[in-house]
Amino acid sequence: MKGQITEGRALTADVAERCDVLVIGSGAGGAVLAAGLVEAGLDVVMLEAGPYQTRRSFQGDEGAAFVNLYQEQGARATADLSIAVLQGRSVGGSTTVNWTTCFRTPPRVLRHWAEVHGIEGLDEESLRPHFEAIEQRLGIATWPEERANENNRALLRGARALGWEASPLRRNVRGCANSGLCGVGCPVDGKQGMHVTFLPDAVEGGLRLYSDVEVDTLTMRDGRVSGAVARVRAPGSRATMGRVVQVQAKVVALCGGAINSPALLLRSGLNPNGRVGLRTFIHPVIGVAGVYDHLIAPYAGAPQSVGSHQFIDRGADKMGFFLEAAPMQPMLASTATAMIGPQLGDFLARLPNLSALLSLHVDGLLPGDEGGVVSLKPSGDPKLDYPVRPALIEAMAESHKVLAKVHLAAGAREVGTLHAQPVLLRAEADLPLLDQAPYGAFQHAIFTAHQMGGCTMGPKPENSVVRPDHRHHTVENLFVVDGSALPTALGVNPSQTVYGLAHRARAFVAAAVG
Amino acid sequence: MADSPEYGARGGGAGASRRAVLKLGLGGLLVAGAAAGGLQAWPGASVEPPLLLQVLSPRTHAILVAVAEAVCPDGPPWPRPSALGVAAKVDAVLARMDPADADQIVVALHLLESALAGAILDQRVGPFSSRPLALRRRSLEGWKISALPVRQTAFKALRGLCATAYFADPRTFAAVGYPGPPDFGQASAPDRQPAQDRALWDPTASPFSAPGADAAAPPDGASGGASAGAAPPASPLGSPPSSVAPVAPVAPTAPAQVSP
Ligand SMILES: Cc1cc2nc3c(=O)[nH]c(=O)nc-3n(C[C@H](O)[C@H](O)[C@H](O)COP(=O)(O)OP(=O)(O)OC[C@H]3O[C@@H](n4cnc5c(N)ncnc54)[C@H](O)[C@@H]3O)c2cc1C
Repeated sequence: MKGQITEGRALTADVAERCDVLVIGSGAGGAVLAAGLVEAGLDVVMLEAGPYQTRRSFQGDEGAAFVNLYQEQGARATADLSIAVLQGRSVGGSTTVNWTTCFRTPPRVLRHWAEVHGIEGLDEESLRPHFEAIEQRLGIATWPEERANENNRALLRGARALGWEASPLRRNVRGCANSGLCGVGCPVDGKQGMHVTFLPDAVEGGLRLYSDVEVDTLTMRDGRVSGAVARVRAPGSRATMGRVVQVQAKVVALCGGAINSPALLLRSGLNPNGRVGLRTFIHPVIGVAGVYDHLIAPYAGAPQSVGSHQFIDRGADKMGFFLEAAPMQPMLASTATAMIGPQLGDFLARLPNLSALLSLHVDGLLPGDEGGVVSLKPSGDPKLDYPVRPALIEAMAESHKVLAKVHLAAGAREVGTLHAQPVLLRAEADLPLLDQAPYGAFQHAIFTAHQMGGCTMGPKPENSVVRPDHRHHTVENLFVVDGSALPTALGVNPSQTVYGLAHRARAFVAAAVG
Repeated sequence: MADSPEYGARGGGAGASRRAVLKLGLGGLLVAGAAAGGLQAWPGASVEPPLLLQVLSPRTHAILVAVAEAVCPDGPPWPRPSALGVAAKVDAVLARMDPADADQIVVALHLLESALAGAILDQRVGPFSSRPLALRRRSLEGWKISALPVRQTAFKALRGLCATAYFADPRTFAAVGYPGPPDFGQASAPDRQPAQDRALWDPTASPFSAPGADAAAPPDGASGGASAGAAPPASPLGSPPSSVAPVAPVAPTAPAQVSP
């Protein structure tokens, strides 16, 4: 029987649902999992806190998109506001707004998980069939170099001129029109996000999905999870509409993503070993801008189609980083700098000729790098504290130089950092200016679009929240299947790892229904 | 579950009562300033507050107007933030936030405005909103690099709220040289569309980024005034002003190939 998507505002009374599996969250993890469970003949209900939007409402309007499609209207940040947190909140989760870069989990990271975190059964070979299935369904393929936009070409050209590795990236698109609007919702359904792939598949097979319905707490009986209580939210808002959705389920899969999944466990009082919310990783990002003589139009074309892993391995005691490009519509660009007044105007007026390159720093791999901590605000909403530690500061100082060199080698007429007081460079000879600049929280823009960990997997309850098969250590019928289960950051964009792990987790969750 | 904490605020609204935990740690300062009468000066507001403010009072709205003017660029070709209703838009954003976080923003506004706090911490007197624009900018620049984390955080929050509300507005696109998002006619298209091969959108063919193009009004009818063909400002990435030559105009290429 075909299922359906019910928007919260259509509910005129409280709802009581019963099902085999309740899936909380409709993003990368939840969608892939739900589609598999439905395929296995199970009765599945999914609750999604954010709204259900389709291409018809994706008008390229940044203001509307951030309110409707992002956590906290796009204004989520660490507790001290030093790091901006971009994270999705709508049907499809972050995949509805992500920039489509797809990587399989790097074998070196899987080895690290085995060696340092004792995680068995996750290796290249065992994951291969899952990744292949995902790649097929999402049309994941290399975006040809000749289609790269000027922003990404700058990275390719600069890195290659310096003799550094750089290559075209793989993207989950079919019929991409190069609109550049990935981050605000694809207007042509070219991006193969969950909202146009696994979710419609699952609904076709019977999934009942409620949007604008946010789970408040899990309900428990006799040490097992019995379901969840959720409230209907006004779209794009914390305001509630008065209606309650209560679900009873044999098995619950928590797929709210990093930050939100740990928060839900904390709200539910489910933190027996004190590990929930710890080891939250974010691939902290810095950016360096280059002004070019020719049109870059960083707002147009596939946002991310070139990457460099030249600096991913910087030795045993240094934090690695990788390089990519960022799309820049005006509003997002305005958040990247700390400028005000005429300076800000001048910066934005250069947007058409501006290339924005990023460095993403790989947290969680160095010994002692425990990342950030998720706790609860008095309201019950999540709060993220993320200390910027010396290893990250060292890496950010280095990556600023690397990106400046890339821009200069690519032909930028001027390079500028996103410091509170920007450092400007015109030639290699100016690079020492970067040695004098300060690095760290509040010294320059830092943001994240990759949230991982907080409900980390591992064999032992002492230092993890779920087992390597995503099952909660103490609550037998509770699973966490999303980015929060990752034991470390990845050194590559995380979506495909989450898809792949969720594809693998289908069998474990289905088996738990009994 | 029985031993779960209660989160009444998640029901909405009730969180406003939880003002105890102030994320910015601004509470003490505010109370000190208010108690000493530092908040009594009514800002010289020239912008009428909208009738339906949700979080801001007419007074904090006026302070925010003064902040927005300082944060956003001014003078042609830039529209004035008050003409775009930036402060009212920020009010709408605050209304959708965790009420305790919205409280923080209001506290930050009071703190910035407060003459006494200004005198103590800033060696400046006179409420923020009645200072001339250049002085307001200097105060904000001081907060940006302040040694007090409280001020850095407050700066970041206020700057971010004003800048995003301003630059999300299509009436700023012409001055930015942003052609605006391409229109694929999706508003009237079916909800879902099967994958198909498409021609790629060509941003160089759009009116705003082609030299000599009319400085056409953005779709909503506001006057913009800048075409990207005009010489861009001399200081591309901030201070100090650079001596770089203007960016050469970009030659238009093929016409738009948008064919959804
Ligand atoms: C702007 C941006 C660009 C990105 N670009 C890339 C990229 O190019 N490549 C890449 O690999 N990755 C990218 N990512 C990251 C990637 O999309 C995420 O890592 C991935 O989607 C995480 O999957 P998830 O299942 O953990 O969470 P999500 O996909 O975020 O889904 C979680 C969902 O659960 C919902 N939820 C949370 N709590 C509750 C609750 N209590 N009740 C109900 N629902 C709840 C949320 O609203 C959300 O919709 C990007 C992310 C962003 C924000």
